[in-house]
Amino acid sequence: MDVLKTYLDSLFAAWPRTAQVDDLKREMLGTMEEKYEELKREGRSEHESIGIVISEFGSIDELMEELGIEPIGEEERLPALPENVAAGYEGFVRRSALLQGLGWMLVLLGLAAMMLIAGLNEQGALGSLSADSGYLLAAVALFLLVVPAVGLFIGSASGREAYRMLDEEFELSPGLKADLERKWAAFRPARSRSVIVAACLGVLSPVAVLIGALRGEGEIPYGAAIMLALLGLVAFLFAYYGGIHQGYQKLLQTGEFTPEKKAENRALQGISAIVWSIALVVYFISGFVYQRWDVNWAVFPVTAVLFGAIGGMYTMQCKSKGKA
Amino acid sequence: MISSDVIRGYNDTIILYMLLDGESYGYEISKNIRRLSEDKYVMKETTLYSAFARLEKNGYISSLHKDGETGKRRTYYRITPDGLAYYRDKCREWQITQEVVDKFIKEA
Repeated sequence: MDVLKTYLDSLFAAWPRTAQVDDLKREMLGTMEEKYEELKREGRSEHESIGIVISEFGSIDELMEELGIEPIGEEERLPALPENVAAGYEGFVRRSALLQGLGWMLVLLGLAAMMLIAGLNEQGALGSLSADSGYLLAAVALFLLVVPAVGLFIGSASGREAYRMLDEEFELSPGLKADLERKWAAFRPARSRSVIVAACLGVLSPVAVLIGALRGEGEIPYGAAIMLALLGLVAFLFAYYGGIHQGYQKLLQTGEFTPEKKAENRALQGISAIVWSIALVVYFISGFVYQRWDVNWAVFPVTAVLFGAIGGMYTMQCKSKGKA
Repeated sequence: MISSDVIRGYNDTIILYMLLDGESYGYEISKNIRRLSEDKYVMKETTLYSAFARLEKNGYISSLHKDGETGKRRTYYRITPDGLAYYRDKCREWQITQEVVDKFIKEA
């Protein structure tokens, strides 16, 4: 029952959110819901039932006094997220996810076009063009598609500054929270479908290369071009639907965006800046001084794996600390 | 409907009575109080949960979490020996109170 939950949320908003209070709130919600169901079974209307349940709720001050819980002081309260900021962020996320999705698609389509033209060129199917200008044409095609993609990436981030408060902890009004939860729930089926479609396309895309290879070695570039175009679609689906999904998580402070995770991510961001700078220095020194450009790129994947392990350990440590 | 001010001192007694025959949970207790009082007394939600907190703090009831038949987690309460002793004290106290107050009640 959304109405009862929202009602309780608004009553509990002025009180600290401890485990004890959360338990109590859940328990009381259960009792209120049972009472509501029974009133409805007795033949009362939804409105009447809710009215009765709320009128029999009593005084939250009395309860908190008994528990010895003090209300949150005005200064300790987290900033409330204004409704227009939430609405603005929703729009921003949709636009930015769309631009990023299109950007990734263009990059992969650029690679596909390059493959295609290079393949045609090797087959001598570009008519009077010389082989060199054929390769140049392939590079130009890639360039022409990647440049607008970079524009899209830059555009997708513009306006982000207006929503910096979302990076810190904030409070959602119960009505806004219920509203966002409803919108997120309405969006989820579309996202699930997109993940399934993207996964299928991703798994099937190498088939294009296989078919090309079966038709003869000269056809492989065409197969690769088709595979890259399909992967472009996959990238679009992941970036667009995933971006919106993350936007809702951020607004509702769940998933990767709970207050604990936010603090953790801030700490990890600091470590990450140092670790990646070291990796970059190692890369350049081994390259310029020792001329090992052939193997030194391995620094990056190794760093990524090590960093993933460090992050995992840090998270585990935070969790065990939280439990103790 | 009885005003909650009058009955306040006996909310704990009423809840302990509901637990005499075995464990129970919030809604069941509240529903039975309404039924036994023939709809004359409805204990407010917050009054009920304040009483649970107070009784548990004093060691008069103990609580345990159980999964209900619908899979919902519920807190069940059980009366303790201390709770039973307290309940008996309150019953005696009420009898005296009733005797005394009765002496000042007449059909005017």
